[in-house]
Amino acid sequence: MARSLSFFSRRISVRVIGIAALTLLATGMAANLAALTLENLVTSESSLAGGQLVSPAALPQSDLAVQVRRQMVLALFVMLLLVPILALTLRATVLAPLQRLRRQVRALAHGDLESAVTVESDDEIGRLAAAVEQVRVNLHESFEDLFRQNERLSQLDQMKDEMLGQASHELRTPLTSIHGFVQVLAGGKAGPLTELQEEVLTMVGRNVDRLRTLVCDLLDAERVDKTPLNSTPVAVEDLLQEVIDDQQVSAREKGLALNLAVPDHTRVMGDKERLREVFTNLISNAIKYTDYGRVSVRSLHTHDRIVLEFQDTGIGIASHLQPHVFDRFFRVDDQRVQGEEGTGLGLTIVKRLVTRLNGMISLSSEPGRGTTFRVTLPRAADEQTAGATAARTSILVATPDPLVQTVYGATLTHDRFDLSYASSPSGVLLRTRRERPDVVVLALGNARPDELVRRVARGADMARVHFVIIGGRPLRDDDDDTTDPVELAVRSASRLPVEAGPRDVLAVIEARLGLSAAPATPASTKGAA
Amino acid sequence: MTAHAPDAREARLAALRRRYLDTVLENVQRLHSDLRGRSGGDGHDNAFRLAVHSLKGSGGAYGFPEITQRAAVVEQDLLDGRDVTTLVHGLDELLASIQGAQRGLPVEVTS
Repeated sequence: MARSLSFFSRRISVRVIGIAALTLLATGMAANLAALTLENLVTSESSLAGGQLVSPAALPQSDLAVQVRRQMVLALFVMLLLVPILALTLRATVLAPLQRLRRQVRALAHGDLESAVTVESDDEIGRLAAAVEQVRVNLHESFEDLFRQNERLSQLDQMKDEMLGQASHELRTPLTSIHGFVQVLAGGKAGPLTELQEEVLTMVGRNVDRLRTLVCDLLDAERVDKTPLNSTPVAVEDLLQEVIDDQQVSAREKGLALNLAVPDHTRVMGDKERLREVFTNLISNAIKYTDYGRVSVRSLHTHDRIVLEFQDTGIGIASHLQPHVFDRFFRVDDQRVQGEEGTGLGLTIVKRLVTRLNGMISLSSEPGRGTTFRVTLPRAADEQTAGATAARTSILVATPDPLVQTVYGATLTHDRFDLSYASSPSGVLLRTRRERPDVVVLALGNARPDELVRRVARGADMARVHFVIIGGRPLRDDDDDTTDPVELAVRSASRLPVEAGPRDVLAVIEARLGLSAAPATPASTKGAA
Repeated sequence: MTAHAPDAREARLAALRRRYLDTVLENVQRLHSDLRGRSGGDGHDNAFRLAVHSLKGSGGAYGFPEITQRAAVVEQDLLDGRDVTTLVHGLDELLASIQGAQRGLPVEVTS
């Protein structure tokens, strides 16, 4: 709308000048025409009257023509004076309010719902401004209403969590008693059982176990946000090996291979027992939903983060269900796993724990081919130092110009860099999914690089990829406290002005990775998508 | 994987940058003469706009931020609907930047 107003005001400006010029021209022409007509009239009348030609100057009527011409010339001068005044008046009454309105509408379009749209005028522009102001007021009220509702829903959600936790706690004690009594009965300690009684007791016992698991998970889910956590260096490889040893029986029963490929020096900051819970949950989940193949765990290292990938060759999760995987009570509705027990709280607990440990979790999955969960955790300080010489950084440079790609290749020279290139947004999506680079440099001249970042972050490991955006519009300041990982990826992107070049990008990447060494050898390169 | 010694790499980079400047100088000179040939109008046409936008995007990438800045000014003038005289002036400044950058490049040694 602001653009339309700008266009409108520019057109009005041109029209005002045009009308003024035409008025001026028309006035001059009319003056001359009137004087000539009058003169001709006088001449022809005088010629006819005497039957001979008489000079017009000799006739008293010719004075009238001269006077008319003088009047007209005077009128022309008056018009000459009036036209600029008219133009200035139009500018003050039409253009200036339109420009003011345009500025206000532009602010509104950028989300400024606080500033009133006001144009003091009783004409169409004033009415247009009043209509826009009404829209602003309605929008403002709607947002306020949404905000209040959101607050209320958050409070209700918290109350519900507390009630659920309390109820679970109250349920656990009687359930423990029931479980004990069922075991007494089933063990024949209360007397011999018939075959039917044994069968019924087995069913009761199984359901009591399920109830206990559900209650324990509910309590865990409620407790996970409140229990204090340690933050100490944890040897991930040792911990994962212990978890895998615990899960070997389940995996062997299904004929699955459990692979671990994590360097033994890998250490993260966290709470060992909480991490054990996370790893156990992810690995047991992977086993549960995998019938053939393997479950493997591997690690990727960046300067300050460790990414642990839990990959299975299981049934996978349909894309429309993936956003709900971490929701409470979510379970994959698949015939192949209907017999599997579970409460649908495990991944909720995992996500909350990982978030509390200053980490992030994401997944990628393809139905029929398997699922990969990626847990990103802060690297322990000594681990950062020890691994500094070993880890490599993969960088995807996205720019449409092959020669610019060459310039980047010749500038981003470091023996720890692996470079690849993309020439278009679709190439970026393809390569990030295939290669999962550590850094993506976006120099595509795209006016909305943030959208591309969002699309990449949704598909790739959003916690690990760092984006460097060249050009593009600055990010708005609102919603700074977002916890959405995709938005966090957008907000944490390094933003460089449009005139920034490969050397600026190199400086950003080196600063981010904590590299200070001078460029050594060129990075290894891959082709452009 | 391609390996170059640092000197060879710098030479290749310098050659690329020189080639870039030669190309854009030619392009801007052509834009400049096209624009001056116009008797009126506001310089609005897609080819012109795209050429200027491309210069804005590429200057910094080759290590010439001033070219990007000058091209950005011309692009903004275009968006603001400025007259041909203003645009010609912007291109003059752009040409001066390109020529200045050419003078700043190391002299190519041929044997």
